[in-house]
Amino acid sequence: MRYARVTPLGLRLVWGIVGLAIGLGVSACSTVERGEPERITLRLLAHDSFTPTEGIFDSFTDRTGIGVDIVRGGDAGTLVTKAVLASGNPEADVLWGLDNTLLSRALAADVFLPYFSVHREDLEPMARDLSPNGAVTPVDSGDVCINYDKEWFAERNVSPPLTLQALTSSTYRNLLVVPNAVSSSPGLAFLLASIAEFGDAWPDWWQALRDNNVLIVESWSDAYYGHFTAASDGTRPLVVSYATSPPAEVLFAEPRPERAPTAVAALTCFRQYEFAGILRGTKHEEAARSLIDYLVSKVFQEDLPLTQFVWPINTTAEVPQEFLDYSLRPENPLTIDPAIIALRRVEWLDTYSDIVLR
Amino acid sequence: MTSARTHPSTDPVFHPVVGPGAAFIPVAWLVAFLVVPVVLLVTGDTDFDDVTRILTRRSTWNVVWFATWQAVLSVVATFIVAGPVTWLISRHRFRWRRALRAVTTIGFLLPSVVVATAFLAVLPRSLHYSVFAVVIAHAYFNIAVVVRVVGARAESLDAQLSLAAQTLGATPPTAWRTITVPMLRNSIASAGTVVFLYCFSSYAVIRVLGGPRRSTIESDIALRAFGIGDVGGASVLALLQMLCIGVVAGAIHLLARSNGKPTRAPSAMLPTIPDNRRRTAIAIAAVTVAFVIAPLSALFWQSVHVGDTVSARAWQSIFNTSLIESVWTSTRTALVAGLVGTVLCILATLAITRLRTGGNVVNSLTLAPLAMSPVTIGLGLLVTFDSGWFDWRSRWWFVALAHTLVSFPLAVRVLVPAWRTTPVGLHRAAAVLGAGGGRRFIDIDLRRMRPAIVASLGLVVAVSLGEFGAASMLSREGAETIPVAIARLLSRTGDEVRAQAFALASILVVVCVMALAIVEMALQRGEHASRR
Amino acid sequence: MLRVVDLAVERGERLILHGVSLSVQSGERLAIHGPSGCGKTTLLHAIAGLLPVHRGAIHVDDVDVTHVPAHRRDVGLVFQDNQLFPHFNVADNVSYALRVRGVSKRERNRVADEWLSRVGLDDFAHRETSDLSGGEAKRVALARTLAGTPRVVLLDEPLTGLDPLLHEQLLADLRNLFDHLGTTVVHVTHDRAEGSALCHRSIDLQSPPDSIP
Repeated sequence: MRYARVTPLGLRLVWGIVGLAIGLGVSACSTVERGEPERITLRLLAHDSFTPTEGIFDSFTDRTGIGVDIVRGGDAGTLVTKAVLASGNPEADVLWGLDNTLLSRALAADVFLPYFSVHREDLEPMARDLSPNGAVTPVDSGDVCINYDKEWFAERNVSPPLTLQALTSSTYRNLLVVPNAVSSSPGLAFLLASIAEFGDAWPDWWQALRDNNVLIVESWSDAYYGHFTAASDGTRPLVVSYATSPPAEVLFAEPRPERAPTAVAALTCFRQYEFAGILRGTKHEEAARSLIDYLVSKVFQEDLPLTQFVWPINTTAEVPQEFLDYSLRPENPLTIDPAIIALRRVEWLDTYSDIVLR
Repeated sequence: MTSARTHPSTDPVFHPVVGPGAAFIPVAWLVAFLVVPVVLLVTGDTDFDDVTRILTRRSTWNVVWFATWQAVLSVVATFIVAGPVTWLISRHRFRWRRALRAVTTIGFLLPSVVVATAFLAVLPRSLHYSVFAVVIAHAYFNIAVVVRVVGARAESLDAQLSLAAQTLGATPPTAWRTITVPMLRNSIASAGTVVFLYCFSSYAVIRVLGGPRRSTIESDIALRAFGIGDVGGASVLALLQMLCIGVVAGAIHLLARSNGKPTRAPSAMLPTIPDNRRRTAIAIAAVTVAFVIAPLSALFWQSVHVGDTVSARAWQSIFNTSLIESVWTSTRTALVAGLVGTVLCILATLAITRLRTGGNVVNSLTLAPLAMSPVTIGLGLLVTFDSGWFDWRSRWWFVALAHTLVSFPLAVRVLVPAWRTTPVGLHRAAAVLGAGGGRRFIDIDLRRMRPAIVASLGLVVAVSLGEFGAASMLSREGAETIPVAIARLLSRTGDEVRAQAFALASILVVVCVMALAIVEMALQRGEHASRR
Repeated sequence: MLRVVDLAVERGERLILHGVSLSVQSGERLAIHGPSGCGKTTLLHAIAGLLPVHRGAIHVDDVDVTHVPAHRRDVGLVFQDNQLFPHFNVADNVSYALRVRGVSKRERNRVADEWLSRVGLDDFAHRETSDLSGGEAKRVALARTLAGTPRVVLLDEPLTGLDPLLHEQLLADLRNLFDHLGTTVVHVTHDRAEGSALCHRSIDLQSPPDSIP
């Protein structure tokens, strides 16, 4: 008995391909974004230290109908690099947390859409001038300084170092912990402070620090909450942190001490300005502008001191008394022109890692 | 009359179109997504200044030196840890033999981030950020390499040879030294170079356990690209690493050839464990299993502790917060990478086994992703597909694409040997029974290869789940894979985030072990089938 | 029926077959003898369509199949080493030709049982090929080829290597089976006794003058 072919292979293959195509089509459709929702939600990309009061954006949303979704993307350095690499196809609509040490990188990569906020006149002029074409808008300022544990030094009857130069003294051997300038924004600020202070002799100073057994860690939080004697069970009473860390120590402690347990060496401070900007490629430019305006408005700015321990950039914003009581605003902090930072950053970081990290 | 048709083989059952046709897709894939991006990366963002700058820096060579000596140390450590259990498994027959071998493979299939995290959990604080931690973590991964490569060769040696040497007057140690070791030498060297390669281009382990002061070229590439923002310098480093790896890989290739013939008949049984060795055997097995299990248990243990208190908060937060997104992202990425990758591997295998000279070319090409490290692959993709219609940076499948490339060498190496053992006669028999080319492909090749295909799929999925280098370059906010999420959690301080990292890592352990079990079973079934 | 005209087959640079001609009538069984190395297996493989033809023609039932691919030639071949599919069980092996044609599973199993019965392996349907003895494997290979009802059956040294008792038995069984079915057979063997026992007629294949003995 002969058997003729019933269903040739070719035909079966064709059905298989048709089925596959239908299946793929269906699944593709389900992943297509639904049409523009009635309510716009902006994605605000910020670093991990962006911790405004819960609900601070509610009044903004009520007024404009625009929702705000905060996305935290690591520390400032990573944030900026990712923004640079994603230039034109951003992960969010607005970026918060770019500071003057990283400003050059982002501006060079054309990451932002320029916008002059309506509140521009109220903002600190010095900060404003750092971005003359309005690519980014300043939002707050702070100072990165050496913090010391008052109690630790008092107990041992040693006077704490008050200048950068003093840190190289053998008195302070094994006592300093510093975040890595390559991966941490305050770390980079500290490096820049040393460059501002010592000029081209800065590598020698870092070599001396190295000889004094400075401890380098990945991030600021690792340094402060991992090794600083006043905030952990670590062994280092000297740390690179913010001029506003002492008030934080006070205001978060229970019961509230009379005086701050830590203090700042004012002559070691480097001024840091933070910026926010609209990311080029956003689909909601109009909405993003409103958000920028809100971020520098009096309401939002007044929330900053007690939640993020930074100074508002809006000169009309009021700073709470407790904040003023416990904090120090250095009068002549160290600074470097961002244009120079732009030119020499990579070279400086290279030399730094040669000396300190190897 | 007629002239003989020119076929790649004289046998007309080999289709002249299938070979080159099958080759086209995987080759095009590799060229488009691997070769072109890396070339663009190197030529586009780099200029001669970058080259001189990077190559003249003392710290570049310090990094190369560190990468080298820690890799050598890791190789030594691996052999020390794996030696006893390899001897036990390959020279004896006992009840839990297969299970013991599977246990040693766990470390290999676990993602590097997970292993590094597990060692953070199990080692005391003083050993964090130390070379010891790095070396021992490397040894953990690579036990399987020694067990499988050296073990396989040792298994094929006839114990009688050593005994024969003894009847001729050699003492047991002399017999071991003059007879056994020389026969194992090539496999030891081969295993050693593979382990060296893995450790040389290690990234996650160095980053998590080595601290900011220690760097391999691979981690330096990531650091330079993301931390310093010097993409030009990063690509010079990538080239440098490719060069180093190429040299070592070439050595492997040469060594792998001259492995020698087995001296033992495959059907000959291995001896059982003699009584006087029983206690040693148990001790070795116990220590090895403990070594493999300890870090994993520490991982689970620590994930249910926040600080010193027992708490399921970390686990709860995974399901309550956005961390669950990473589980979904990883799953989706792994499945897509698995399916696409396996299809590509099948095509590549077809090409390799159906073409003569072309097959060798394709074979060598599939090794390319090994030379280009995951970070380089990720970086290349990132800077190439970033404009216009090819702006894929926000596409959900971008990471999966990178993963098909990274897993390619491993998966192909599982499929090709299995495919090659298909006797040509089967094809002829099927042809004579009426099966055309396509039919034969399905009934003979695919069906026979089913265990190997399953193993290949499992491998690609496992690799994708644990892959860190490329994913860290390409992941976007809200669409991170689990390894990237773990690294980010670990970079913050705080007991809670640490526990969360451990919890996520535990999830990965469970899933990878399951994938491993599937792969192991599939490979065994394949072995069984091909012995008929 | 089968007609081969002036067939020449080359392998690499050498001509293995130098113009072989033969013809087999329907229902006839032809034995081909010759020393080893003279190309007997090559001839069979060429007839089956597994080798390209350098010169000459092959006709099956008056159809010129010289350039038709093996899977469409309707010529069956029992390989010397059986080539049973290891990943199929016995029944699936036997019914393979029907599987290729898209016949339903139920029908395939029925046919497989029928043919297994005919070759004396009644309950072997679910056995694995690795469990078969030499003689059993040969019978399965035969059943597999016959189940596809090819126009011509080619046998490549079917009884070589079997022990004498099995040899006798299988020879007798084959002869009875072929007599019953009226199959057209080409039987290649170096054993003349076997050839004359099984087949109606025999021819000798000459070694090519330049081949190595």
